[in-house]
Amino acid sequence: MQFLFSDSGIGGLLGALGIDWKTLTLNILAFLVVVWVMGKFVYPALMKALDGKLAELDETTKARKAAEQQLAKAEESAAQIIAEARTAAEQLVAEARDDASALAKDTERKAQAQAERIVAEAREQLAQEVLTARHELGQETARLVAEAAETILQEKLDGNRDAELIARALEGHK
Amino acid sequence: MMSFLLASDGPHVSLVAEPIFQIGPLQIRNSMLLGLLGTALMLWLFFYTVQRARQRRHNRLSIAILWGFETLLGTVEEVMGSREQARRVAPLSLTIFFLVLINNWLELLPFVGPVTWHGEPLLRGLASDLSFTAALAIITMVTAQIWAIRTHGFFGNLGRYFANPFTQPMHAFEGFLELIAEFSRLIALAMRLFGNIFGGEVLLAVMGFITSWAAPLALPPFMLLELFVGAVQAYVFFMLATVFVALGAAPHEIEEVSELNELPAPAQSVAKQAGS
Repeated sequence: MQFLFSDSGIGGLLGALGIDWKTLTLNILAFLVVVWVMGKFVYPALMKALDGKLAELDETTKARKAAEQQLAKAEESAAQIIAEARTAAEQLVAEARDDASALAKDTERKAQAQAERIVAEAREQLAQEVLTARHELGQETARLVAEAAETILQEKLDGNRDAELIARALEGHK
Repeated sequence: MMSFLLASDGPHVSLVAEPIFQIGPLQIRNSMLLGLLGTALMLWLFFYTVQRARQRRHNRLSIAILWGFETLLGTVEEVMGSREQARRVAPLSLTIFFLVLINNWLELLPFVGPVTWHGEPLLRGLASDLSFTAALAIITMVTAQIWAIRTHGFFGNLGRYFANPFTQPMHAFEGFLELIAEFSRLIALAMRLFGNIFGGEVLLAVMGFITSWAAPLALPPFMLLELFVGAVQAYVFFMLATVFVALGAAPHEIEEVSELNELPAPAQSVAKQAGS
């Protein structure tokens, strides 16, 4: 390359432009040293920092996606639980309504039966009391009749006499 | 930069970076001094960011640098099409971007130019020295060739440029054109960056000279423009370096047009611009 930097021809042109092989070599070597230093000590560290940042971003993105998936699952599960709870509640309400209806009907039936029983008992008791009253009334009537007859006949009526008179009266009716 | 304000014989414009001192056979130029400062600043910024990243204790500066690094690394991954390949190419292309960007911005500082040493500016923009841009271009194209050889093999890579002209005349012609294209890419890479940055310096110098005492009011818009141009040129060089390496690794049976079509849209536009 020495001819390139000679004083004639191209060498003269390059020299006029300020290029000589010593300066050019010095510039090349100096720049290569700078590239080596940067490539050895600076860029790997910065690339590592960028990779770390990208890894963190990836992890964050993955964590966000996982959280979103968990949230979606939780929402789905919550919706399912709510739906199941609603179904169960509706079923319970329906059952309770049926039970209440049945209970009301049963109570009504029992009340009606009890009322009928009370009425029947009351009627029976009333009939019994009527019978008792009639019996007592008969006895009282007989006693009054006897007393009246005693008063009219002026004689004491005992059982035998009374029976005799009754028999005689009955015969007279015949 | 503004020392010419007090001079009567016009702004100081020199196509070649001025030598400041000599170490043995090596000539130390003013562009190298600013380059050293820029490199030191870049290394400090990145080691600071690494320290912050390790401690997981970021501030705005470290976040901004990490964001820039992440964005450019993503671009390299898109262009290369593979995360593993991108991480091998990234040290070169990212260092190009950050070093060029920082030096392009540093040269706009007020003390770059006015401070002189034996009558010559002590500091000068690194990219306004063709030695530096040519060095970057050579490294880029050599890396692209090394990458192509690793992908296709030594003879496979030669097959991109040489073919039997009697049996494959079109392929031989295309290979010849491709060989010329490789050299033109190298020269274009070096000249584009140098031309834009040196042109910016000249623009500022001329505008400062023309506006004289009104320069503090007139120059800021142009300085903002140069900030923008410096960032754009750093990005263009970074993208072209990545694209050229990716093209070197692309299958050479496919035509270049289809190779470009496989690249992402930003890389396609930059590559087409570089080709034109």
